[in-house]
Amino acid sequence: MWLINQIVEFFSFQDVNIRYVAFGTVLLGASSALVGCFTFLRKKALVGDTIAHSILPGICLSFIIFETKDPLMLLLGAMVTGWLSVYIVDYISANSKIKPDTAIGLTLSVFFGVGVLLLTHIQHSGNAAQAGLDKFLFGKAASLVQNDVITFGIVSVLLIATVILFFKQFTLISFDVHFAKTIGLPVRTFEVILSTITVLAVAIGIQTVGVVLMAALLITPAAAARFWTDKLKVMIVIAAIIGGVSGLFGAFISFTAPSMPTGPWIVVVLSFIAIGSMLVAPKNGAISKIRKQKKNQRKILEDNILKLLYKLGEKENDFFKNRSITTLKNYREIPENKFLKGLNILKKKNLVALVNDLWVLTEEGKKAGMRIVRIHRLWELYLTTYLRIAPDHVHEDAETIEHIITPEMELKLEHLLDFPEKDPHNVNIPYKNEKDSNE
Amino acid sequence: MSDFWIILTGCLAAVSCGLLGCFLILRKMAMIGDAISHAVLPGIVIAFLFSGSLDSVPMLIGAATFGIITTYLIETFNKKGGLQKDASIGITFTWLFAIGVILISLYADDVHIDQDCVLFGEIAYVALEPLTSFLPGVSAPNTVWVLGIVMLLIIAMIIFGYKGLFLTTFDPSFASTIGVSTVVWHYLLMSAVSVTTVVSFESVGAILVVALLIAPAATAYLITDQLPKMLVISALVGVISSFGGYYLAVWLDASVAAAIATVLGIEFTLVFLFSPQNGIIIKRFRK
Amino acid sequence: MNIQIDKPVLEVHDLTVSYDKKPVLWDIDFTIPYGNLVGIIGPNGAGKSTLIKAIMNLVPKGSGYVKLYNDTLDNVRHKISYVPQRESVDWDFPASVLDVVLMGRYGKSGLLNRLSKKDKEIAYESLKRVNMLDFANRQISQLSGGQQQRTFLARALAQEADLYLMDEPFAGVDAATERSIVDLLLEMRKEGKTIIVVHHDLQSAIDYFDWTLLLNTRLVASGPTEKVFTTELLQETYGGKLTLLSKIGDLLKEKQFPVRENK
Repeated sequence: MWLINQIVEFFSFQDVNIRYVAFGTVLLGASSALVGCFTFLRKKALVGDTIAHSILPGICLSFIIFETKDPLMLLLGAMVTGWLSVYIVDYISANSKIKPDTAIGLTLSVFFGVGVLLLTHIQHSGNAAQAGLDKFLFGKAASLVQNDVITFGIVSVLLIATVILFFKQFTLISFDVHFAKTIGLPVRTFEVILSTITVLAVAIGIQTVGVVLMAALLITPAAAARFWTDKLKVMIVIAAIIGGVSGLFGAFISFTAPSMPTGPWIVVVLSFIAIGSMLVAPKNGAISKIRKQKKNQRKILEDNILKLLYKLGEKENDFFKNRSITTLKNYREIPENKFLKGLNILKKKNLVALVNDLWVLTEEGKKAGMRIVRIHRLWELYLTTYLRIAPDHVHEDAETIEHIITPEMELKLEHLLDFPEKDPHNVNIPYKNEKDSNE
Repeated sequence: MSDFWIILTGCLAAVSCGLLGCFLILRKMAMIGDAISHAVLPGIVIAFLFSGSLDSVPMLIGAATFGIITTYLIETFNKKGGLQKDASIGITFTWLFAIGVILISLYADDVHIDQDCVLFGEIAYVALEPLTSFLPGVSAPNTVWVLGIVMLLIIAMIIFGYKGLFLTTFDPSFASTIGVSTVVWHYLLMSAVSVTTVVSFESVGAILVVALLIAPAATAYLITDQLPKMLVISALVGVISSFGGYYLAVWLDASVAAAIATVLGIEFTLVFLFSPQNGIIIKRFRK
Repeated sequence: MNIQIDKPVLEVHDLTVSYDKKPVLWDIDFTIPYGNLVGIIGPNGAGKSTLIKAIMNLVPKGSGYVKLYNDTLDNVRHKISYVPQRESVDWDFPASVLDVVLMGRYGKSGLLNRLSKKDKEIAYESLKRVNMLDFANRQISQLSGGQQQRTFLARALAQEADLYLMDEPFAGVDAATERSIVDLLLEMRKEGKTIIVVHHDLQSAIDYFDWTLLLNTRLVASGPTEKVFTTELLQETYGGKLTLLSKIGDLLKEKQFPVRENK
């Protein structure tokens, strides 16, 4: 009951503070996610981590030099060192044998160390004005006030506008830098713009989730969205939604349990969405892979039973003889309950019929069985002809491929091999409209 | 006397991290080291909740466990989940760290660990610890004993495991073909990193641990072409930063851990610019 | 043209290997006789490296088996040496030429034991054979391409194996080095070793190899070089991928279909 009250109170957005916090976190989540998509695609996901750690010294320096906590000045300091760190990482990896991952780890930890040095120095110097500087470290979303939200709002709009404006260019430099260069795109310029808005997004986002977790705001929505689509435009929209929703959820948690840190909850929600996407997303998700495997196994079972019935028909010259399950089991090793399951599925599809506890092919079933047998033998011939494989080695391969060859491929095979009559073992290849051997 | 303990603590942590860090950067796993140092947080908290104390042994077990979990998750997200490597690392450590922070705030009253402490550690507290005596005639703060033992274990591991580490780092394919399990050595190294990280947390904090893992090794990498020398120089660079950092912190009245990280940065920059073999400025002079 | 040997040193049967669920090697079948210098030839992307990796169990097999000395790999590892491509290793690594060559003794000496004087002697001997003795203490970052290759070869020699599998040992190497490597391989063959080499150049293949495998995702031919180097077979090898086969591969990947039914 209490929870429902909380939900109602929060989502009615009547309280001004709630409005600010919610609006702020949604905007942050969404704009970070948007910018993060490109970092993700350029495989520079950890650069976001670098920038997050490198912002602190800039903020402290700004405070020391300009003696103010004006957010704009602090932001300026943040941008300078944030930007510097990106440049340094690239410089180190390009001009020494130090590898990129080492350069990243080195830069982020040293910059952060310098930042903490300055911060603790400021804190211990007894300068009362410094109180609250450390919110840049851990994030305190719950204490967002109107000014903060206005800043976030402006910056977020700026970020979104930039992404929309330069969408094509950003896409190009993310996917194919070399091509972009060859068509004369000023790659360097756009890389700079992209870096700048990334630094901006981080400088703002840190105030919600803190230094360590900032990387998540950039990477995780993008990673999650990637599982749902291959189209970039759709991906960034999905990422923005995931980012925004997670931000909102985090704000809600902060509201119901004020002592809870908002940042980590946002990250936990994001991570669950990402891991969930990994499992569940159609086509790319793990669960869909399992479903495909089950579907494949079913098809294999059905096909093999039909094939068996057809071949028995060939052998005994009677396609429509009734056979018991015990007889059938002698020819193909399948556990009885599985066999029966397959037969029942075929019965539902009208490919076999059950007559007095005995199984028999229907006319449709015969056609289906013939098709599989035909494909099997055609494929064997293809293997021996084009792949030059010995005739006694092609059976296993055909046993598998016979299940997936489509009608178009079947036609192609027939043409390639010129409607052959015999397979590599000199057995007949059955075609449609053949007279029944019975007659 | 208290300076002595503080500096010694820093040195012990520096040597352990400096040695392991060489293999981390040579394997291009610097960021996995960074990830582990953050992701062990929930392990520490859970260990504390179970054991009810800040004793080292349960913490080490909790840390090693989460170190292995982190390594496993990164691999799984990457290989089985189809997620690119950098995102696998990023998502894993942020998620685990977030869980750790939430656990801390849920059980905030019970736990002496708070965010500040985890991130920065407070090496100066070492000086306030009571002295204990595990060896006749020698008294030292608990932290020093623990760090000392871990350091000796790491040195032993590197001495006895040198060929395996060298082989699996330089040429994992060749290693597989002569029947050596690269997986075993990988997890061995990552477990060592987890243990070292945790043991160093209380004194030097997570951020400094990352700096100690990467910076000395990177600096040594630019100085020498020989692995044994690189290991020694890396440890030395760490020890120097411990001394330098302490005095810098005293001068600026700031966090010792942060000062050590700053000094590491200075050392690296000097070597990057002036190293006889690889220094940028030296190379320019030669031209 | 797939000539089978009765008592082969290496037998590959019905081998299929997939990358990301799409087959890059399809139903490979061949046998290799003892004491031959064998070349694996084919266009880029034909699966040549993958074939060697599959033989050494470095990549999983979708179907089929491999027999070495009529036994499984694990039982005969001490007889086999694998020389990876040069690019597979980071040459910035802080190690000397001798350090790398000594790795060749790790298999016989074990990882926890110290290397003996004999191990070091064997390493020096190997370096002498490839003309790199003067470079023993040189750092590997200072080596040229040809010197790097010879270092790998010295390591392989130090293993004192009988069967050698080499992945593109002549890639990016100057003509003089290539000639000296070939001479070395011929010497080894005289000693009764079997050497299988992934090679990229058609011209030199005819001169170098006794036995040749023509590969393009499927095995086009396997046999004595003169018999295999016919216009027809070469055209088939270099004439592009089989379209239908490629389409089926794509379909297998899309449906996540197993390469063999019962797997």
